[in-house]
Parts: sequence; C-alpha cells; structure tokens
Amino acid sequence: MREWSGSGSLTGMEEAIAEMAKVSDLLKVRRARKMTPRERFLAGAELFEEACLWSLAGIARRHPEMTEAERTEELKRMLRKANS
Amino acid sequence: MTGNDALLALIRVFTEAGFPYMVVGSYSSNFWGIPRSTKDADVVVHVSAERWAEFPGMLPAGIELDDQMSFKMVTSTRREILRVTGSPFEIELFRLSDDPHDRERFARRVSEEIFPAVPVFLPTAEDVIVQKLRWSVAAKRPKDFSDVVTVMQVQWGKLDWPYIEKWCAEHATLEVLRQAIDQAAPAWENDD
Repeated sequence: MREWSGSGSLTGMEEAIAEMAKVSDLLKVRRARKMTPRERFLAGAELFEEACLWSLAGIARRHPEMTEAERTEELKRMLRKANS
Repeated sequence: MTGNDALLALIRVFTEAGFPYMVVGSYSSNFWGIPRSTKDADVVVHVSAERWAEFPGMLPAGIELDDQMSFKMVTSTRREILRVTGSPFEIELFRLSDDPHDRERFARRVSEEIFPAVPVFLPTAEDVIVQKLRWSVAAKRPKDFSDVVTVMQVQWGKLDWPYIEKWCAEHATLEVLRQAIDQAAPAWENDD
C-alpha cells in the first residue's frame, strides 16, 4: 500500500483514502473467509442484537421512567421509522 | 428469545411437520458472503393451503403470527410476518411462487449443518446472486447489490458463472452483474 505523506494535494489524500478503503475491504473478505459458514449464518442476528442492546441502553438513559417492555416498544418504533 | 433461537424453533416446526422450506434473504447472503447485521429472517415455504391452516397451531411459545398479511413485489409472493415476543426481530414467511427462478432455486436448495441435528435449507450461492441482483434492480435496494458483491468476494472460484449469466439474461440484469463483478474483482486479484 502506498503511504500518504500528509502534505500532498487533496487528490493525493483522496487516493490514500480510497487505497485504505480497498485494504479495509480486503481485510473484511479475508476475515469472512476464515469464519465457518455456521458462524457467518448466525452473525447477522447477533450483530443486530448487540446494536439493539446499545440502543436500549440509550433509550433507558433518555427515558428512565420507561419499563423494559416500553423500551422495547420504543426501539421497535425507531426501527420502523428508520425503515420507512 | 433471540432471533437465531426463534429461527431455529421455526425450522424445527417445519422439519417436524414435513414442510419444505429454505432460508433466504440476508441470512443466505451472510452464509455465503460477508455477514452484516439483520433484523429479520426471510423464509420461503412450500405447502398446500390445507396444511398451512395447521401452521398457527404449531408455533412455539414466544413466536406469534401477525394478523396482517401482504404481498411482496417482484414475484408477487404472499408474505406473512412472525413476531418474536420481547424482541424487535421478525421472521417473514413467503409461499413459494410460480416464478420460474423462484421454483428453480427452491429445487436446487442445499441442506447445511448449522444447528445440531436440525438441517437448514438454503439457496445456493449462485441463486443468492441471481435473486439479489434482481431485487437490487426491481426494488432499487443498494444493500442487495452489496450483498451480491460480498458473496462473489468470498465464493469466487467456486461459482457456476454460466448458470448465473443464464438467469441474469432472463431477468435483464446482466449489466448490474457486470458492475458487481467489477466491484468484487479486487478481492480475487489481491488474494494470497
């Protein structure tokens, strides 16, 4: 990978960013190839649940008065809004 | 109940009832490609209307059938939604349509060992590519195109390209197939 000196033009910086994005993509591909198909199959829902836990923690901080069920409903409402 | 627990419970129900099915959508592209977060599981099931009437009574605790049913565009497939108690995760159920590719990918589906003693049926990597390219064009969904690129990046060298091209020609998606190949190519060129 070509190194970016930090003093180049904007085009040089963009090229460096594009190169880093390419390397990042390749790392993701290699990581996925090392996972078993079973791990890849299960990972999508696991990633979603982790994101939900963070979102629920945020909701709890903003709305300490809400019950757990109400927080889950609020999360569902946020997800519906994001998908609409 | 987690999303994966709910899916396993549903697969057990289908297996015990003898309902042929396959897990499609992001679960199938994650299986063949690079996993991304998914808030639902899509399952295609092939069953008569009479036997389907038995289905709500078979559902395990924690999974409920939503009253509202709809039709999915592109293949006009009937869609029903299963809600998981206490979770935003959903399972979308589709009946096998008469669409020729829907039929062929179902006939070619493969059984994989994901959960102990419970086989999971999935479409082949080629059929994931064909179907998601079709959706990326018909429904203008960029994430379907990205999923195709990741399946190509991970499965390259093992793919049946004449089969993919045949269906892409049928669906008029050859141009978008070429674009996906262009995006996936650096992963094969830089492979160690």
